[in-house]
Amino acid sequence: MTGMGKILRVARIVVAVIAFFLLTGLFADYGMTVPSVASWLAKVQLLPAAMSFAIATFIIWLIITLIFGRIYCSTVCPLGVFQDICARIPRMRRRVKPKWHYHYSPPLTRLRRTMLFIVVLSIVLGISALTSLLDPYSIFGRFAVNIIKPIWGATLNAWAQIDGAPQVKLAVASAFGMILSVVTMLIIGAIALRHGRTFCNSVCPVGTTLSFISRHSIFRIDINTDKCVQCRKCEHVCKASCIDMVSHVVDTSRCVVCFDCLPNCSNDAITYTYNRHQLSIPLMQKVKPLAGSAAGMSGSRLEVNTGDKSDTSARRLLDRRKFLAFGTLVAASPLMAKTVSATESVDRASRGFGSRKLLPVTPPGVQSRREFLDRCTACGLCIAHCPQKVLRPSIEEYGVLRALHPVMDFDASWCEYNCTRCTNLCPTGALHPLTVSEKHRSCIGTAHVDRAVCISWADGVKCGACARRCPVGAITMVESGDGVHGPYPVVDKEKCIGCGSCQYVCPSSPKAIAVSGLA
Amino acid sequence: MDGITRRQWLFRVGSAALGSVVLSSCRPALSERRVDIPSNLADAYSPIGEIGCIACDNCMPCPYGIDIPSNLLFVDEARRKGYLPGEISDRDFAEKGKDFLSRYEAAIPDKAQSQKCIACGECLGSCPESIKIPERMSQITALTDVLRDLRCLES
Repeated sequence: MTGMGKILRVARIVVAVIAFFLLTGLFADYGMTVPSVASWLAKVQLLPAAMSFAIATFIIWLIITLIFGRIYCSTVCPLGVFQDICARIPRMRRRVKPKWHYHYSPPLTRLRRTMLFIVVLSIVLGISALTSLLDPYSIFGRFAVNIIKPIWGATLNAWAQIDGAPQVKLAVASAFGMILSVVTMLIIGAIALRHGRTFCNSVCPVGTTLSFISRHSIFRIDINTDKCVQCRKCEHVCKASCIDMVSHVVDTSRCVVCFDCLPNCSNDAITYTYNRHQLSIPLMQKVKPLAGSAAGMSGSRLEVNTGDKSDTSARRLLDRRKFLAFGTLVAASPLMAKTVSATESVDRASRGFGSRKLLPVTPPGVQSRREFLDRCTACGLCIAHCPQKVLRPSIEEYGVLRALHPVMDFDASWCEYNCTRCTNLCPTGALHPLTVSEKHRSCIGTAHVDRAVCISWADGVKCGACARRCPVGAITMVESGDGVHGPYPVVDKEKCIGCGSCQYVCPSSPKAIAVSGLA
Repeated sequence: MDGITRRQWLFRVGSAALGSVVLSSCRPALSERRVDIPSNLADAYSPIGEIGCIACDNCMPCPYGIDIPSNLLFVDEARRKGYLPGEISDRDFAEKGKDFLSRYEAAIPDKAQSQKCIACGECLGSCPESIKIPERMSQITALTDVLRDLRCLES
């Protein structure tokens, strides 16, 4: 079985490395080579699949988890693989220093469920900033867009200096997104360095969801107590800290099926199998667990099972504290809901334009602003591949609790009339895929004119740039006819699709024509 | 293999192979596929003729922030170096166009590009070569519009 374990482990690593590189490339590629072959990898991620109501994908993952355990976490989850890479750094040498050994720790069941509950609650309430801060795919996506992509671009440009190829235009990341993703990744990486997959088994909502299923998985890591010599080698390499050597039970709710433990066992005592090992020594079974320290050693496997049923006073105290925290959160949820609605009203009045207020403009392909904000997990894939670089992560435009969602910045660029790229890439269904002809008709906002600052009307400069650049011919320059002022633009609200071409070219400062988004 | 373990060899060879594969595959590749350009843009575009800017800077500064000489010189240089796209029907239009656009965007900042021209005509009298600058600017804009479209449709 050791040979088998080795094969399984290598296979897992190969799949994980390929998926990790493809997912990184999906965000960091400056062309469309990787996205054209790997965009499905974003769409099979669990939370995006759930957000886009891709029930089939979701159920397939649940079935895979039910059969094989949390393979998802150790292969296609980019943040999971990132943690594995971090954890590997101090454990590269063949004989790992005892300092870097992992040790079993009891499951943080309350904490995990609380975190999952908070995330579900925030999805229901529409506090999507919280969801996007905790979703592993989105965390990695933002890191790839904000950090890896610019570094990769600089590398390409350095390369281009040598062979004379055209330079790529560096994706200008927002400082806010950059700082946030660096901080998140530093925290997660630091935890992984010392404690392996602790993030996955305490905070990650995807990990917790899968753990409900993997608890009952058919294939599982099993320890044969007849062969086990208590050397603890498997426990020392278990990055999920889920091998309990006292009761010889592997907590499958936390096991990410990395197969690291299998090749490490010198007696073939630990295997990946579908039937649970039956103890051959009757004495080891059916003994009531003793209170206190020796509880596990003689306890039956079923009774100690996940370890969260042992009730020492210290544990109960800890549980009570968690319960209190949980209760506080539940009590605070109506307050959070209020805050959401409060920020909503604030952001509606955020940006002044003449006598009018402008709303932030969403990317194309949204059905309503509300639906877009609820579904988007702020992974940044649309921002990474916007060829016009008109998308940037929002800060407070949609409200602070909905930060990091893509927002159109028409002062920086405009939305290309025939481009549908972001809508086709979005894995969460926040942007619905559009064909080019649908895009021509899809309206994301309306242009408004502030005549007082228009250089054509106020100063009589021969301009009309907005009317010339409008791809749908919605703007006409109308003569003022009073002999004092020049012609001014008038927007046909029926024709305008809110692409922002007019706002981008407007030479007036402040802009005399600007787009206000969907209500 | 003295002084180096099999594992280290594996690691070195693996990382080198992976690195070169990634480096070569992720370069912005030229599109082989032909894409249709929407007629509204195709109609506005015609190949740009010789401009002949002498970089005297008399037209500057442009009140709207356009770097006029850079724009004009870029086109002439593109023609000299062979990546100025010709007719849309040309076989190599997409390939040259991709090269042109990426170089254009890297060479000239957004705010100084031709599409910011409002055709106010302030620069017209100052050019010793009597280049019709606003007309040229709209030609360059028509070209970049077509190319930007190509880039979007490529995915």
